[in-house]
Amino acid sequence: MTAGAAAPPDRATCTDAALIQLSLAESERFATVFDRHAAEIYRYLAGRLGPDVADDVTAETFLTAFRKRAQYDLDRADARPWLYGIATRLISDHRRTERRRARALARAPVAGPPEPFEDATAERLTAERMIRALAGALGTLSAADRDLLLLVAWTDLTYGDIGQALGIATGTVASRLHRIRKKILRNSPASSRAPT
Amino acid sequence: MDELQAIRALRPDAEYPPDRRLAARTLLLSEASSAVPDPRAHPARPAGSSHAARRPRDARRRLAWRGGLTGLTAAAAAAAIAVVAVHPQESRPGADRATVTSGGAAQLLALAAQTARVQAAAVPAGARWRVTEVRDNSTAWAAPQCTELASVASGSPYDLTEAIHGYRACLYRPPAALPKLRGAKPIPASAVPHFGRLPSRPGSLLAAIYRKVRAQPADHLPGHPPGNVAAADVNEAVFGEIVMMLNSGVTSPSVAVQLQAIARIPGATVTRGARSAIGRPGIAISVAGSIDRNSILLDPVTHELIGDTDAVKVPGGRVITMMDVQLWQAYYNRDGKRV
Repeated sequence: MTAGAAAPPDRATCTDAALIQLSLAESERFATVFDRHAAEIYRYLAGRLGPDVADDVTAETFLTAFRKRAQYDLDRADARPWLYGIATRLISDHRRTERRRARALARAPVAGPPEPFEDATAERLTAERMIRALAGALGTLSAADRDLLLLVAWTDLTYGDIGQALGIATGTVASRLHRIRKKILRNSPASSRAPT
Repeated sequence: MDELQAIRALRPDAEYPPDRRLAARTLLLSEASSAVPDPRAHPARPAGSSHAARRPRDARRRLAWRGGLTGLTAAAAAAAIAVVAVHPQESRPGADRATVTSGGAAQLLALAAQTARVQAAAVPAGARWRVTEVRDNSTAWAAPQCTELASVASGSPYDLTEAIHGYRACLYRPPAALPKLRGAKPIPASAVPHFGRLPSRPGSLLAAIYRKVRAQPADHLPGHPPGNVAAADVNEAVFGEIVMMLNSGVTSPSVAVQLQAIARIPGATVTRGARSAIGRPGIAISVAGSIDRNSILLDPVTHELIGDTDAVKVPGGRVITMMDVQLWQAYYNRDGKRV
């Protein structure tokens, strides 16, 4: 006689890893992983591909994660690096879309929240020029460099997390980031002259 | 502000639309409800252990085919395609005798389609993988860079690529073994139904793509109202869509139809004497829009499709040409051995 099934863990306190393990037997549990992280993954994908494509790729990211959940490393409580890694691989199917988008950003004024006229200082104008130049430079980076740079800039993942997402060593994240930043400065004259 | 802060400012603060979020969640639950519980799930697994998910093929759920061909992009662009620089004004050494004409594109593309059909017979069936090494290149870079390999399961209904992560060095020639193949999953789940529903006749295919392009928003710009692709850019955008389809590694009969569809796009020009970034001679067929000039390159002898390129006017009057160069292609078996 068994002692009976343990009470289901509280969704709010359960780690992602625990949810994923539970989902192997009870598939619907995986929906909680979606609920926790879908908005964040969508924001990242919308930034990289635009909101229209991000819809599809977000859905595909979680479907892929669900299908691969048995391979998840249960030592890792936070599933976000894994999800970002899947999303990043799916972005590779959209390299052309992303490049077009980066170029479009470079051609257009940077939209931001409205601000009082007096705040539109020379520094801000310099920053806007820099942002436009960088947007263009993003479109010319290699896919691998762009993946790393945007995971650093657009997420709060640690270098270790990013290394996990991209399948590279933590030290490699730092060294590649240094090289990418130098490359961007070289390709974006406006950024190299901007005040820091 | 440093460059990382500036790049952070580029990310739009997009909210996941509730209806799309609900649709994605429903799709996930639908998949979950049809999934077979993993029998190994009940005994506690050692943390960190790894084994493949077991899932019956018919339990797959596909993404909805929104707006006709919208999902095509999900299957595109990871493929290995040799790419070239074709603009005379930005050409590399060796392209100085390039000549541009507006005629002959249809005939060249007909020959290319014939070649593509013949190539269908050369694709081996069974558990073999077509692997290519791709080199990213751009006139904006100081030096070309090698990126990942792409892989295709040639025995599947549609040949679609997926990056094999872990290879970064330029190999330049196919290695005898590629152990990373063992973990590579060949077909993006969203891709097959899209290609399965593509029109099989060039005219129908082209009409469908024009409908899609005219309905889709132009490049998204945060903070700007949505708008459709400008009339002056429609032909180039249609050409770009087909190039993405070609890049996705669909089977050769489909490639032939796509090449025939390109032949019907108004304004296609031919550039003879173009050379690829690795020096391979070719004939470029291009369609220009207001900002981009998209091209495919055909081998001048066999008319085999050997690549594409995208030349873009950027602020300051510069033209940047972005390329992916296919360094080699070879077939491997499931164990990663070259066949």
